[in-house]
Amino acid sequence: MSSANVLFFFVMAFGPIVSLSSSNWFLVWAGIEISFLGLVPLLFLGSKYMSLNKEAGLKYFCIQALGSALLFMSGVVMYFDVVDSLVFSVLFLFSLSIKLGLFPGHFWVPSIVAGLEWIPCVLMLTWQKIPPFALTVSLVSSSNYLLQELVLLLGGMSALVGGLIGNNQTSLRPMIGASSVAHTGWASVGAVCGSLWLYFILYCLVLVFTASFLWEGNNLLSSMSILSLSGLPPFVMFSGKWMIIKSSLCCAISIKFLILPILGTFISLIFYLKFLYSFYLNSEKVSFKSNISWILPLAFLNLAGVGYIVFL
Amino acid sequence: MISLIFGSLFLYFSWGTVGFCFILSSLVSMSLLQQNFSSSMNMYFSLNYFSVLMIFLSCILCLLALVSTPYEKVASSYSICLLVLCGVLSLAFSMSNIILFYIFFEASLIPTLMLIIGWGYQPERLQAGSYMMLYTVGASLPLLVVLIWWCVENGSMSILMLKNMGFSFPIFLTVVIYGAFLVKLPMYSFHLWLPKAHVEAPLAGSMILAGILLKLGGYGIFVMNNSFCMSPNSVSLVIISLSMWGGFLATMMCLRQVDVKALVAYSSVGHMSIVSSGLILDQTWGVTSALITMLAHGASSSALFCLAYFSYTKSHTRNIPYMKGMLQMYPILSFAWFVFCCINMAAPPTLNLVGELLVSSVLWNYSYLLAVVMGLMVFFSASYNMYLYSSINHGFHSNYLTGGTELKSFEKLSLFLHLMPLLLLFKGTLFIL
Repeated sequence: MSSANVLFFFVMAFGPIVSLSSSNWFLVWAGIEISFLGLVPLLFLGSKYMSLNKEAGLKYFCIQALGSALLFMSGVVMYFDVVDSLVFSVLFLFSLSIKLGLFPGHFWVPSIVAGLEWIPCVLMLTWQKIPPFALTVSLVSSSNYLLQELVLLLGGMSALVGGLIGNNQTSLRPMIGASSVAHTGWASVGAVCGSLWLYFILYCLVLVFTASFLWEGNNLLSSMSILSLSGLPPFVMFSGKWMIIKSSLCCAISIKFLILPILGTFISLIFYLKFLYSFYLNSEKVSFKSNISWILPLAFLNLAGVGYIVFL
Repeated sequence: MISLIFGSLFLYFSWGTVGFCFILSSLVSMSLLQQNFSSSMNMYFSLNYFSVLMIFLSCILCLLALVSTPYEKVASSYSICLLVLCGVLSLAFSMSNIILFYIFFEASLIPTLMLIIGWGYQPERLQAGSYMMLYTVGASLPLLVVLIWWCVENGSMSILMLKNMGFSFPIFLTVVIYGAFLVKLPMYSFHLWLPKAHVEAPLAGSMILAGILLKLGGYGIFVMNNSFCMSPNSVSLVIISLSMWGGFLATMMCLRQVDVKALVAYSSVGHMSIVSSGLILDQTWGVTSALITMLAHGASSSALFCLAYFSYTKSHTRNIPYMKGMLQMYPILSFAWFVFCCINMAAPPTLNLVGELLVSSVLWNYSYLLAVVMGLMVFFSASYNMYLYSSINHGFHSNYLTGGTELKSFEKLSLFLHLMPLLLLFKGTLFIL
């Protein structure tokens, strides 16, 4: 890691803080851009001679530039009340979906994640998504009912499409990308109804664990954390799903919006199981002995997270 | 007791330690059986006559599964899987919070999957594991939504509170509410995962799967009856008749199986239909019969899986036609086959008989046609058990048996320990609280 990367890292980390704490639309947009520009050099981390990450970085740059331009234009129109029309709200939502990798703009996620190393991949899927999610919340809370339903529908479609894309993948990183599409769908259901941040933080936690175990090459623990991405009950992701279902039932949206996310979770489970098998079968039977000791409490937190609720 | 099981997780995982923990916890759960009140509860745990018996069954079957596989002493993760499974199961049976019950109901799938994938035999075990996960998770995700909706509506998650609230719910939700547990039981037409999982699972996996995990479905129906104030409506009557006919069909399917494990798996589909119809009709006799059938079937089917595995180690095949003539080579093993086939077909002095007698009167009370189906099922279950026993044990011994190993003492120990829960016949007051 060169010393310039430290600078880029801080630029990237700084962006979402700027955009979340600003009250001016230009600064919000500039925060997103700062963070994006800080990330682009980081995408080339750990490059080997024959590596796909140049191509992935280029694709990411082009697509995000398109998204930023659309975001800026529609945001200016929306927040400065130039024209008060639904068209620009929808355009704003579309540009956010390109930024987030939500359903109509999800196409870039698996192919770009496939070319990256783990650290930029995790940064792209977690830290970069914070300001677009915050903008989604502000869009939904300040607009009419039709747009809320649109976000719910897009979230459900995204969960479903993420599951379908994931079933087509044969290698690991595109699968993580597809699962990120599905989880973004769930999180945007949460953006309408509440408990988005709980879900998102839990997703970041599990994703970081998965990436670190995969990076370390610990087959048993990485198989378990791949399964815990699926959000089955004993794992910590389940409490996020539980909270989202609970708050969407509390705020009385129609129950038909929950059908698509549930179906998407079910379909995603198929590919999580597929990848679980290949890692679990490669793991040697006793792998606890040779482990770094600080990982074990974290793994315990991840794998038995819901068990804590019993003793709260 | 639960702290005992989880406490042992932090010790080092040797076979002996785990075995000792299981012995202690099954003794503790036996003392739980001697309670003076029909139910007791606090913030987290609630015990009633139903769940206490189920906890006893899960502890003792995990112990037996451990006893039957001493050759796994080298792999500590095997013991960990069993421990986690036992802990999760006893937590699931003792929760007073309905969402936590759901969580542990689902959580029991993961160690089972680990057992099947890690210690199964053929490559098809991956497909079997996927089938099991997808069937049960797919049926229980809608249940999760309904449960959370019901808790939000009533403002409480405690089973006792939900029982006394008395809100009503749309009648079609009955399918969703029972559906998850009917898949788990399994009811015929949702049962496809069960023979696959049994055929591919290792011995301990299939013992616990048949012995306790199916009972978790029955206990789930009991809990749902309590917390949704269910009474038999038109939807549930359709479910009952489907499950009775399905049980009959499953016993017919048993007659044409050639794989011993698949035969026993189909026989448990047949038995579980009695359980589900007894529980859904929700009368005292029905629930009692379901409880008795679950206990008896838990012990006898797990014993049959043990026998199937021990015969497999002697003959190196699970095909029934290749295993014939066990009586000439292994008389003790074939005596055990005889006893457990008798128990499985509900011959007179056994617990299964009491269960079948009680449920047939409940079914007669509802409709005599159902009782006719029940009679057919009893007849054919006797016939497939006789088919199983006689085709394995009688006749001239097959040449595959001659290369086998002798009968080990742990095999005899685990087989005769399986008889122990069936002795609860003499403590009949346990069931009629």
